[in-house]
Amino acid sequence: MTILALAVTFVVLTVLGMPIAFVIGSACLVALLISGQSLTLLSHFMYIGVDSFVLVAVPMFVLTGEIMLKGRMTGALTDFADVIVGRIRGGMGHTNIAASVFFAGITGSASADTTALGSVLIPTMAEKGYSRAYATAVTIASSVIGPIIPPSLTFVIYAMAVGGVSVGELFLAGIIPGVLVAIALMVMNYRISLARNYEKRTERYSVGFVLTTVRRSLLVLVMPVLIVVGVLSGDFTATEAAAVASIYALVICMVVTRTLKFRELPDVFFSTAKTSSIMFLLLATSSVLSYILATQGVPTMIANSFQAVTDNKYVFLMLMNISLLMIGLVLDLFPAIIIFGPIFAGIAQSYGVDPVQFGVVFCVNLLIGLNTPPVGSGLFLGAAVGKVRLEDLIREVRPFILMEIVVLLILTYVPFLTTTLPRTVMGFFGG
Amino acid sequence: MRSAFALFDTALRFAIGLSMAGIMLAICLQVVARGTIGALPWPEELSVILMIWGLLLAAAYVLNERGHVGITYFVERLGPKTGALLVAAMHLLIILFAAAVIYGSLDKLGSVARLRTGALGISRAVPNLAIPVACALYIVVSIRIILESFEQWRNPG
Repeated sequence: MTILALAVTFVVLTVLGMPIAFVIGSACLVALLISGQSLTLLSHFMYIGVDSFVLVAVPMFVLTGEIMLKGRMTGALTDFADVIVGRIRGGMGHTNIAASVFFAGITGSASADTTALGSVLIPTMAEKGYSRAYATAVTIASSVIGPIIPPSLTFVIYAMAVGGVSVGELFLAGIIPGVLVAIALMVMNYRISLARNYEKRTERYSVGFVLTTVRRSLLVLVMPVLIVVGVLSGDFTATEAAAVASIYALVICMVVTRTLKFRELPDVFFSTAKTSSIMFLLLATSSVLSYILATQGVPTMIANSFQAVTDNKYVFLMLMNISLLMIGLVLDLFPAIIIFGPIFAGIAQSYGVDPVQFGVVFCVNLLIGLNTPPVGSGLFLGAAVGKVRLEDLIREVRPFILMEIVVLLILTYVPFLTTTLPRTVMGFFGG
Repeated sequence: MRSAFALFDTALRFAIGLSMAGIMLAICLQVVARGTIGALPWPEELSVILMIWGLLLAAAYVLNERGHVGITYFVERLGPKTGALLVAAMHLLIILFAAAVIYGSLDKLGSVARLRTGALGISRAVPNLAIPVACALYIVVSIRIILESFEQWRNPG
């Protein structure tokens, strides 16, 4: 009865347009009232859900991205991407995807990628003859690379929710999957560009321009390396690495390139707080939901149903992929991680799945959900940034989602792709 | 009255921004101290408290700007009058939720008020208080949005 009331409230309020964080909170309120539990649990678990030093990494990574954005470093990254892939058929589409790979190194968030790159690259692609819906589709599809390649807010929150898995190892494990997603999207972009006769860059850039672009981008691209090496060497925790990265970004933008003025800093800090608060409130209310589901025995129910169906690891992984893709259809990324991360990670452990590989597969699964209707926040954000109709965007993004599912299956059944890099590098750092 | 609100708004924005800058500086100080004079006990605790206060209050600004993640696709298809009523109804529910959180937090605040935090030695009520205070702000913002929605309902043009 409690679960039914919770689910009905959730679906109705979501459809009626209430912000998801408040939908989750209101559904929990209904569940607590029906089950006769104290309302103190609301504020208690909201507090528990956010009272974590690991979580401080989230506003710090967001701050780093904000500094780089306001410091106009995005241009350097898109120019760099254009230099590398712009001459292939569908050049601007490839540039968009490659820029997402580089941009991933400074934000770790899909929405930041869509907003920052989309606002620049969607109009540019439209000018070069791409349909606006297609340009937006490429932008939102490639935005999921942001949370896969380090630093990744998604992995930070996953590690916090699940426990027992290192953020540094997850960061490393995400590099190959992030590049694979980029390659898969580029293949699809190439195929579609051939069919629609989309452009490729014909002019060659001068050596001077290329060198300047490379030098400016390197200033940015050093940062993710600094973060990963700092965390793995044990010099910093993930949170400290995020704060150090924000200082690095400040130095680059205020001293080296001088593209950020001191008077812009209050805006940068306030904007950071606003952006981070969106996921923060989601985490707070999701923590209450997680508690309610646990008291109603939902985790045990899910674990039992998997074990009743199969004791085969590979069949379990396939079932898990299907379940998570379904969850991604109706639940936003961070609530899904907080609620289902601990449940699925426990089950995966009992099947002998590597925890790092599982973490990556779990997160990639839910990231695909960002761009699928009806609750794909990436879709809605993309439609707003690209100024396109949702129906057109859904139609154009479908082939890219298909490619992402193919990569997901490869990652699921080839653990080597996610486990090799952490093992090798951790071995080097004596971890 | 308006100037008092404007002053409050400016002070709050400044405090929220300052909390983010404070976190950055506290953590970097911790990194430097660990490599020189030895680890300090308070930066971790301070940064968590600043994060909880700063981000929960900032969420009120996002609510005001209708920036929280939500599915507005169906509401936008209802037309301006029905849409405005629905927005008002949703914010009424947000008020109920926030009021329930404030009511529920009274007990907790009472029970943690005498306890001290490990490093800073301040009352544990200080970080816990962020939740009811932020919820009070969500109520104020929601009332404002409800009034605005009624205005839109009366004059949809």
